[in-house]
Amino acid sequence: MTKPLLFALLTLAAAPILLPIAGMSINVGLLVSVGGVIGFLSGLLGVGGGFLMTPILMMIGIPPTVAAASDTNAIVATSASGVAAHFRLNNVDLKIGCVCLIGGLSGSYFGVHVIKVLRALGNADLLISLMYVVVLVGVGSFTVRDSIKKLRRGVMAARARPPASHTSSLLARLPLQMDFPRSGVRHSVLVPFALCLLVGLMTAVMGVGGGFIMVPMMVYLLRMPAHVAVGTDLFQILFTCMGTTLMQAASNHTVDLVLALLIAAGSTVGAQLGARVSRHLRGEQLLIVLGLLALAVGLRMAVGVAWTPSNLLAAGGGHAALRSVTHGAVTARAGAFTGWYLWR
Amino acid sequence: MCGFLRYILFGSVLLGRAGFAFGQADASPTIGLSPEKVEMGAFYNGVRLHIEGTVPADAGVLVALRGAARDEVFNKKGRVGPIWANTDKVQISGPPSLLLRFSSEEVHALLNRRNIDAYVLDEAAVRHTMRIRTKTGEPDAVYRKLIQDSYLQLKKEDGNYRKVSDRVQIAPQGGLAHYSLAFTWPKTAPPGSYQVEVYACRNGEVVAHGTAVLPVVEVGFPAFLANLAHSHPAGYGLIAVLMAVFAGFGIDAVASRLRPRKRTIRLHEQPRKAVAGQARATSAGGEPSP
Repeated sequence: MTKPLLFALLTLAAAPILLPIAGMSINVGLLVSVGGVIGFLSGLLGVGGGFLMTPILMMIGIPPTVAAASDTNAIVATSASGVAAHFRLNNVDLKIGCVCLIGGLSGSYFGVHVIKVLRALGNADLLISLMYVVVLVGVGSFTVRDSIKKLRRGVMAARARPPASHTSSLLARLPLQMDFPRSGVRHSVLVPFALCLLVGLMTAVMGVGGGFIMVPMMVYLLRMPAHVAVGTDLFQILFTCMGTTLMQAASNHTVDLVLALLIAAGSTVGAQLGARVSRHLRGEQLLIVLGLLALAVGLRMAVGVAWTPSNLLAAGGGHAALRSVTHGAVTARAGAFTGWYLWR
Repeated sequence: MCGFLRYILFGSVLLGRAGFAFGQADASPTIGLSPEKVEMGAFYNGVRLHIEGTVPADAGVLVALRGAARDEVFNKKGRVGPIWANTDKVQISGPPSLLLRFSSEEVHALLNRRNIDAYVLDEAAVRHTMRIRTKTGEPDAVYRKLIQDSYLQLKKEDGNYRKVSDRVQIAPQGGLAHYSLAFTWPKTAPPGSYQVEVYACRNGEVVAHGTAVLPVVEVGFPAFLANLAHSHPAGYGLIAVLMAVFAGFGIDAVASRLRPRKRTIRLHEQPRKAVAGQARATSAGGEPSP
């Protein structure tokens, strides 16, 4: 019984499949494997994986607009799987999650308009690329340095909350103070809202889910436990990506359901494995991995913007865009929400 | 009378020459495609395309497949200090979206430069068809060449511009010649109508020219999804979101069933709620809830 099933699975993995919106044929196994690796990182670190998945899909030939939109749809599946796993582990702070969701969505809304202004001013891509390098390298190096310091200090020191700083006492004086029992912190509602608004704005401009920024912010600024930060961030990512997928499908027609489901098939399983492995790692270890990942992507981007490109022209849309024109549809670039142009 | 006879003689000679010429006129090549239509089904992976037919005897054969010309917009990268950034938007119109060229021998041995340009059959000819507009309008000659080189490189890397000599086989068949060609249709070519053009060439000139259309269409489930995405975008988006959510929760449900259950030791001395709370905190690997 097992052998025929294995044979069927291997045959399916080796089979090519036509992606209806991308309009191209691709190997099933390749897409599932890519999804699996990114999903593993997603479950392990609480990041949506968009900042890795979109460039990888583009590298294997998916048109950028379709890659970005379908990736967002796949993140819905991955984060749904991750959220369910983290819910069972009681790692989701619903109270902070809801505040963050409102802040994040508001930030995304403003971010879309910021992009329009940046584009009108010209050289938006350059500005955003530099923003990426600065944020990723900054967040990555800070996270790695701090986590290593904590690990060196030992388990007890690592588990102890950082002492209240001058900033903390200032934040404590803000109105609308509220207890967040799951995270064991007390903050003004305005603090997580403002942070998530800022992150939402940055992520809309930079075109990613924002987990790699949000998790360190939750840990270092909101002083939430690392595991709860991961679960709560996934909760927020789930809803943000649901909204983005709907908007992409409605206005740009670039969501490829087949592509998204194949990536999701790999990434949901990967996310489960990631969530299980994360239980065997300490928060600081998770943050080191996340920090190193952010550093690697940031440095890769830095090299990417400094290295002479193999071709001075970068395609902008592929035939999915052509198809949109044919159908008389709106051909606004997906970049407003996804920032795919950064990766070319 | 003598003059009249001379006219008749001259006329008959002219007619005779014309008749000879008509007898020599080259018939249009026939084109047979197998398959006649490329159907992109769910498990489409490109197809092996056979093209065959007849051309006038002693003619070289050149087969070109073209995609419709369309406007394409590119970002042009340039150096800004130490980094490369998108510094210009370039709109290119005119060249075919796909150009596959196969011939019985080297194209320059079959056609002269004038004909190659007229029928757009090589890179130099494609360059002439390119209309380039930048943010600032028409580019200068140097910038134009840079964009043309980059565009052609991009197309060749995508597999959309390809040329192969000696691929077309020719064999005599009656008073004509039978040609045949087999190649793999690029799986990345999008749906649309592609022109198949067959040129019979002799002494640097095109002596006969035939055209056929190769439709590339999506069929079955991919066609259904593509139509749904364009005709009911909001509904399609909702389906995409719901399927992704169900897939995520479904995988989680399966994974949680497969996960081995932990053995718990009941401590009767302590209230059940406190034990459950402790176990949960331990399994989460983090601090217990306050």
